[in-house]
Amino acid sequence: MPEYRLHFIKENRLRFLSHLELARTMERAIRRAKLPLAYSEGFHPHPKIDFGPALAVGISSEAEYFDLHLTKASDLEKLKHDLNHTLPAGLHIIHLKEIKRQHVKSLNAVLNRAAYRVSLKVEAELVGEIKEFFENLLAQTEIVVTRKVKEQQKVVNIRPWLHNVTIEMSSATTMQIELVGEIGSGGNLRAEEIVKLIPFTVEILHVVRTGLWHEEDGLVIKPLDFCE
Amino acid sequence: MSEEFSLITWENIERLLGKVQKPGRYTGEEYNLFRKDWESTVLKVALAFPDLYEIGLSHLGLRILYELINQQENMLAERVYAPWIDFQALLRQENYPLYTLESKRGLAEFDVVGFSLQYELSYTTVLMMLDLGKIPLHSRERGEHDPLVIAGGPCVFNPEPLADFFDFFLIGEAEEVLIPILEKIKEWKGSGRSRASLLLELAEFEGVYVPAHYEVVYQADGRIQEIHSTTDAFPVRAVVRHFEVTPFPKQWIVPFVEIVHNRIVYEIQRGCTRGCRFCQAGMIYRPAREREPQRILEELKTLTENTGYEELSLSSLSSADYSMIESLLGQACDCFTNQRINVSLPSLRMDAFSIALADKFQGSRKSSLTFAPEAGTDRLRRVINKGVTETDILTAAEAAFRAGWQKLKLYFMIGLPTETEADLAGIVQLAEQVLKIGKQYHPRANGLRITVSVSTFVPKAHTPFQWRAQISTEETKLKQRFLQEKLRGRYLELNWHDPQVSQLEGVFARGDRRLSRVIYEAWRNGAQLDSWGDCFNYQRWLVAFNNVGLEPDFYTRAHEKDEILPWSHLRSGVKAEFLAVEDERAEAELFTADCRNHICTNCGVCSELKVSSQIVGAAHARV
Repeated sequence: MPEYRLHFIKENRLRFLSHLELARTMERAIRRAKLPLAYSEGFHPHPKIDFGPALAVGISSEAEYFDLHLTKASDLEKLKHDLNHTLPAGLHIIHLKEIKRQHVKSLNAVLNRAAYRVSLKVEAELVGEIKEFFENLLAQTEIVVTRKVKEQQKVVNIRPWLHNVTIEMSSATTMQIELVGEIGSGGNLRAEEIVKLIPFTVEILHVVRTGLWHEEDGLVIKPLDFCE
Repeated sequence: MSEEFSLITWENIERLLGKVQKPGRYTGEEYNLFRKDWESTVLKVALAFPDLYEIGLSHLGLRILYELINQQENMLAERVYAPWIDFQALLRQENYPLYTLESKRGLAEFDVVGFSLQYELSYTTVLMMLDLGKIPLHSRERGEHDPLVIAGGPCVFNPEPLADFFDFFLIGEAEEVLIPILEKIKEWKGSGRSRASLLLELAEFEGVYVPAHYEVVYQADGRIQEIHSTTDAFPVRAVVRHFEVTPFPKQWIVPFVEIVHNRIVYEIQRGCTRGCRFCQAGMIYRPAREREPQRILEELKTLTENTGYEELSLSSLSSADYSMIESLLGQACDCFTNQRINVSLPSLRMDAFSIALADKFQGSRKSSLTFAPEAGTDRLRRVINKGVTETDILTAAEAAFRAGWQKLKLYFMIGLPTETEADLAGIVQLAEQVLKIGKQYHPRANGLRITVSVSTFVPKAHTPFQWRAQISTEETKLKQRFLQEKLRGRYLELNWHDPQVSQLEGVFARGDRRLSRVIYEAWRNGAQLDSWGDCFNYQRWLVAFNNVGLEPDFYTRAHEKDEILPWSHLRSGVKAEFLAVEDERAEAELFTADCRNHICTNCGVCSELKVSSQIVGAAHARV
């Protein structure tokens, strides 16, 4: 059965879809496009569509991925065109490859790095202090936050998951913060959580996931690079 | 009008959505919605549902009207649902109006705001939505440039409790009359004629009821002395006379968030003439009219292709009664099952035929089957004209267990007219007998489950039981306790309704227009979204009744047959004499047959409304 890995973006109003809502929306678009979707066996067959790491509600993304099993091979350009035709505005396939290698691991099993870009509205006179705050933050060995895990408050050290922070100003009062860190089985970086540590009043304008990849011993492999 | 409040833009809304539960309720942008140009469209209609998005978008009626209006040149319809408390607070804080999902415009910018009223406890939500939409709540406070606030749906067969808030009601089925009514409003717009003169003209349309054109005089004891019409018009229910050609939505909106009925719901027929004496839907949607099976299948094909939905339902009040149901269901399964689209029938009868149908569409996925015996004994089922015996129920249950089902749901009512303790005990016995059969077929099954759902009977306007008493909250609790004590066991589950909620349903189902003040008071005290358990507060309602000086018990009492009822001036097409005869026949336990098979029961609908039943497979009718 042919299998494909698709790279798509999630933007504008559709950033408010939850992971489950996104999955349903994608599945229905695939059905509207009349792609020969493959189903699992058993009493409750479900379509063989496997998404990568979930994105928090409200965050846009330039780098979302899913694997799609079809019962018949399809031309890549046609597949992309047909699916983009039936997707709602806000979801768009930008690239895809057929998975040709054997035993390719699932996206969730393999992706361990994510990058985010957070746009912040800040007061111009606080820019220096915010930059300083992040320098200090990276110099620490521990960043302790409380998270709600299964209805319980849990204290976690998120410092090991935060790998890098870069800051640029796109206007006198608009700050672009790039965050890179660990996700998957080895960690769970949350962009908004980091930004909320800033000890000043700032307004989050926008959060975008800008990248998802696998990294091991300094070697970077992008999701679609696993296909061949 | 928009100067009075902050202009709402998508950027404004976007900032708020990050702070609310389920933002997908408020974004719009769903697949298949209509986008019409605001500036160049003359008449703008907001279709409002006084409950959350998940409930509102599941409602078929508004989907039908949405497409019907949007198909017209020079008209547009947009949707609005009740926001949850969190989003309401944000809108108020920012001084943004409640807006429609399509163009994100405040409700006050529309020419018409039309509510679908499906449930009595949604009335305070209507007020919340009008208030949040910056529209004056009382019709008398609205000026020439305010929207016309109108309503339809089953509740408007007695809309009296809402008389103060609506400019007019559209009683009955909207498809054939709504567009001519909207044309009239469109023509009036900008004509310089007054709102009052428009309402006088509209009152001449079938189904239109302008409550301000009527005066109600009360006796000292609160009962009605007289209903006086200032225009000599007495509204008659609107009806669809050409159901076979009436359009059904083709551009079905697919939501992002999970809604209650997340599937294609195709209305295969309208009306049910089985004649259950408690059932309002069985009286107000007469006669039975079926769509042609070929048309149904073709339209379903288009709908499944346009939506990508994985489930469709062949819907109606009693789908097993559709004359060609077997072949329709067979063809639907042949056509859609191999595309992995599940086909379902929502309403089953208690007979072997229905079980065979269910077996056809549920196949290997046998989740659960629902039966509605309604009452615990054959005697009481004769009283309500249910036309089903204990033998039928047990035979159907046995057929279901034999076919492999393990979960059955049984629906009953308590507080039906003439009910005795024997009838309550009958519910327990019936559930136990069904369970016993289940155990024979599934001796070791852990999945065996009999769920007994018990609601409290609420007498409704325009039914044979419209004069009957509703049991008090105390009596309801006693009866519920009786069942809670007797119906116990590992495989049995009992559900019941909040007695206070049922009482208020009953008050508004048969209430008069003095209750507008109670609804207003309750809303001012904070009542809204009352159908949600975490919002409902009975105390608030009691305070409101008390402040206005009315008693809930006055409305739930037994009414005299010669009493003028709050809805006596509204004609459903079913004659009051028929209802009275049916009520007497209930007492005598006499069966009234379904007129579907050509035995006219003389209810009056066909002659009063000049309509006739349409049965596609009349030649093959089963008796």
